[in-house]
Formats: sequence, C-alpha cells, structure tokens
Amino acid sequence: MTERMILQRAGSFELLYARNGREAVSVAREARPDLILLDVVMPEMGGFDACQALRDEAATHEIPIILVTTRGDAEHVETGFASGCSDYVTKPLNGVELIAKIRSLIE
Amino acid sequence: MTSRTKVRIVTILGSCVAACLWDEEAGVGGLCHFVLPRGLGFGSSALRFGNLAVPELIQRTVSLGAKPERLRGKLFGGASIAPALQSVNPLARRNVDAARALLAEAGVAVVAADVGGHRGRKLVFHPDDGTAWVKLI
Repeated sequence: MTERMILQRAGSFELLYARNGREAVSVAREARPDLILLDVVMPEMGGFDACQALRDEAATHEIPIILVTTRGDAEHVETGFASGCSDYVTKPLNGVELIAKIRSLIE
Repeated sequence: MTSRTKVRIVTILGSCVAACLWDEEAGVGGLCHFVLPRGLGFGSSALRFGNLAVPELIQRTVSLGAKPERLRGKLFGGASIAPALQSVNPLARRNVDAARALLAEAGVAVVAADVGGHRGRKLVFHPDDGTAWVKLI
C-alpha cells in the first residue's frame, strides 16, 4: 500500500496492480510493463517464484524487477538476486530511494 | 555498522555501494551500505545517503579508537543489473563516484574495489583487519 502511495504521488507512472504473484505474472505477460515491483511475501505465489517465472517467460524476461523486502533479510535478498531480480528495496520504504531506483532502471 | 571486536558484517549489494573502512593497528573498522549518492535525511533514513553515511562511518570508527590518518578503504557494489541493460545504470555509477569522492575528501585511501558489472554481490567484511570476501550472485 505504501508503494502505491509513493508511486501515485510521483505522478509520472501508469500503474497496474496484481493481488498475488500468479496474477502478477499474468498481468506482466499481457501488459509488458517497463518495470515490475514485486513484494517478496504474497499469497499463492511469492515474490521469488514470481520473479523466476517472469525471467523464464520470453515475454517478460527482459523487464527489470525490483523486489520489496523486509529489513534484515540478507538471505532473502540473495535468493532474490538468484531468482533474477534487478535490484531491491527494503521496508519501511523511502520514497526518494524507490523513485530513484525505478528511474535508474527505466530511463 | 562499526566494531572493535571480531565480528563479520554481511550485506547484499545491487546498485548500492558498501564503503568499508578500518584501522588495522587499532583493530577497528566498519561498513556503510548506502543506497543513493547524496540527499537529505534524518535519523536512520539519513544513512541511506552516501554524503551522510560515509562521514558518520568515519566518525564512529574514530570514536572507537581509529586514527583518521590510518584509515584504509575498500569499495564494493554499484552493479547494473537488468537483462536488457547493456549500459551502466546511472544510479549505480553515481553511487560509486560518490563513494570515491567522499573518501578522497576525507583523506582515506581506497586500497581495493570491486564495483560495477552486471551481477549483485554478497559481501562479508571483517572490520578488525579489513578482510573482505565477495560472492557474485
């Protein structure tokens, strides 16, 4: 929810949402967004599995992915890179940091 | 994070940069992992910015007994990671440039660096003697 507020306030992004990892893969396959922001903890399919699934699909394998993790999660972040993420941010999210990382990957 | 005891500090780096400092004679060192090169911040969020995190790291190592003139530095991170990204991530490059500039301003020699590239890094740093291990991930 916090990331939605940050991105909506930034005003320059067209946003698509998914309620879980499986839906995220489906939405990304159809829409081919410029970037995907994935929470690690999601119902049905978690962020790591979703990240791997997105990398395995021809339609989505080149899209930059930023994982949203919790603090003190070094092992999880390592798993995230192994699953193909491009970068990560930690909660509590900092708006300046999130926007800077997004822009660095899409501009 | 700073320490004068035998500990190891582990962090994971993408476009972020870790500046590692230590004074081998005093057996004191520390690491800051910053996310953005420069910015304004208060409290713990201030340490996301290199211009605030690096001076804070130097101050903390000195408060534990390090001598500024004996401090040595190592830099890690600043990777550009995206399957379609052939060029350098501008944020990653700015983070590396800021780290080098900030340590130069402080008079800290960078004796080793593993920065840039297209893969993340797992860094293990020993602050008492400056030993660092890096695994590409």
